[in-house]
Amino acid sequence: MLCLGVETSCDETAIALVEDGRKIRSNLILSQIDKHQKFGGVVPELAARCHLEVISRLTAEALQEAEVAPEAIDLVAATYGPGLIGGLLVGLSLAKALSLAWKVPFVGVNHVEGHIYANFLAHRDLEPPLICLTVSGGHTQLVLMPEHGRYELLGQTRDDAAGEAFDKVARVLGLGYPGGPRVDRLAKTGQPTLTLVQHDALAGTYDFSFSGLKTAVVNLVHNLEQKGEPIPVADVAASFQRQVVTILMDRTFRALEENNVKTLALSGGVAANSELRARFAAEAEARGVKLYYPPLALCTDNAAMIAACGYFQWLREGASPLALAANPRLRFEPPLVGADKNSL
Amino acid sequence: MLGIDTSAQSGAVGMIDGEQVVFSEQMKIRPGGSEQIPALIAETLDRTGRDVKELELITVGIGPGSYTGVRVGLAIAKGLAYGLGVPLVGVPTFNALALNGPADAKLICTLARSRKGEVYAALYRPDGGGMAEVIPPTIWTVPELATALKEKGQPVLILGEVLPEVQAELAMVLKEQAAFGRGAENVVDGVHVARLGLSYWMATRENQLDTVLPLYLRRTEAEVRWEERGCRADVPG
Ligand SMILES: [Zn+2]
Repeated sequence: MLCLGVETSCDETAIALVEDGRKIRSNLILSQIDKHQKFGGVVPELAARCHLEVISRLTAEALQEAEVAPEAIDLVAATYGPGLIGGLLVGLSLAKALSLAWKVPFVGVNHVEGHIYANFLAHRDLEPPLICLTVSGGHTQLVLMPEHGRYELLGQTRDDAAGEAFDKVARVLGLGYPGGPRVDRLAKTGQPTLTLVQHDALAGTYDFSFSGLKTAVVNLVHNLEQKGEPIPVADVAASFQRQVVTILMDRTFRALEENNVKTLALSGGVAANSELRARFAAEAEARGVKLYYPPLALCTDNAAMIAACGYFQWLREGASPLALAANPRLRFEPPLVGADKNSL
Repeated sequence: MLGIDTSAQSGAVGMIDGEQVVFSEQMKIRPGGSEQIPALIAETLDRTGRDVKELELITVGIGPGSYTGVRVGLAIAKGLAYGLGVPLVGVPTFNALALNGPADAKLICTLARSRKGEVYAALYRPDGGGMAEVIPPTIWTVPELATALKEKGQPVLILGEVLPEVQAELAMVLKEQAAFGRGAENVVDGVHVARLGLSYWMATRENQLDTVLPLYLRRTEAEVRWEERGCRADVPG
């Protein structure tokens, strides 16, 4: 079963071909980052224009690279939300037209759910039940996945996403953008000896809070600046990162134990953080938990994860209606279980 | 041949087989919903007993009109053309719209909504079954357009889905010189898009699959602002 995936929800035009939801045959990504850089952020109208200009050529290249004839494709999947409406519409419309022309089913995919499926591409032996920790610039979620397509929300951030906190701390420390990788690199040269926050207010729950930690960094830097003292940027970066990872580990490993699950998958851009990977790996090893995370290239936005997610969705639910509307504010909100655990 | 246009408040699809019209469908797509056109194409093919694989040429209106709407039309056309392995031709939407007018009209002005206070407009003269372009698609304020049409001194038929206040303003200046299209006359016919596209294809044999662009007429606001800032920085002192 060969699925073509289309992803145009932000500033990357991506087309991929994936076999049986597991094997990447081609995975092409055209980033527009250089086009938006001078404006200091993604310009939605410009992004939509760029998607349309390159998308037919990119589709042809994806088929060529996979050495696949159009007749061999069985399914077309596209992101229908969340994201920027102009871009979503370009990819969604192309995908629907391809499904019409090829007479194959069309599937609309939730981008956030797509990120989870990056793990199924990277690890062909991975199967639910599992717990997935998604940490990115937009999300910090702990989800129990008892089987494909079924999710139960265990906990999530009550304020900033972890990636957002990394970006803000990087800005305060003058490290620039993107914040995550820069804090990670600097932290390697520092000592995590500063106590930024005295106690974990959400201890015992599965929920996260990072704004207190972020504010503590901001206050520390301002105080030192006012006193004219040097800022130990590497130590601040190392201490901040240490505490973020500690909070993520506490919730995740407690959730694994309390739900009696032995498989853990990480997803989202922050899953690329080196301290996070190292400490999660050591803890998983000690507890007999199997840890999975996607390679860096599959952590960021791509169409292979959309194709994989679309394939498993099609197996369960069949095709989406051809009239499916794009939804820029589409949510990924699995039902919350054990709500009592998080009511403090 | 299939013709698609999604630049305005109504989306249009039409299919021709040589001289014969297979179907011509229109649906309200504003606000939002232009991505529902593929479902309309699928249903209409089914209903008329036609197969998508019969299509030999895809033609699409490139605007001017709603940026998002035009892009959706082009994305659908690209998907169909690439998927079927047939050529794609982009057609000026206003040229197709002007073909709704009678062949004995003196002048035909086509209109589409732009930002507040402005319209897209072009002027055509019927010419041997086709339309000769007198003024290409341009952005106008309504008073400027009224003056330009008045200066032509000839009766003009005005076509397009525009706001009532725009129509009232033009009527006030042009008086009996202007006539306005009624109902479906103001909506592009997919069949006209297909016919125009076919004649372009016969004349040029140029497949525009990877090259066709919307007729934006305007750069993005971010680009304009950025260049204005750049210019100011260049001023000495
Ligand atoms: Zn993403």
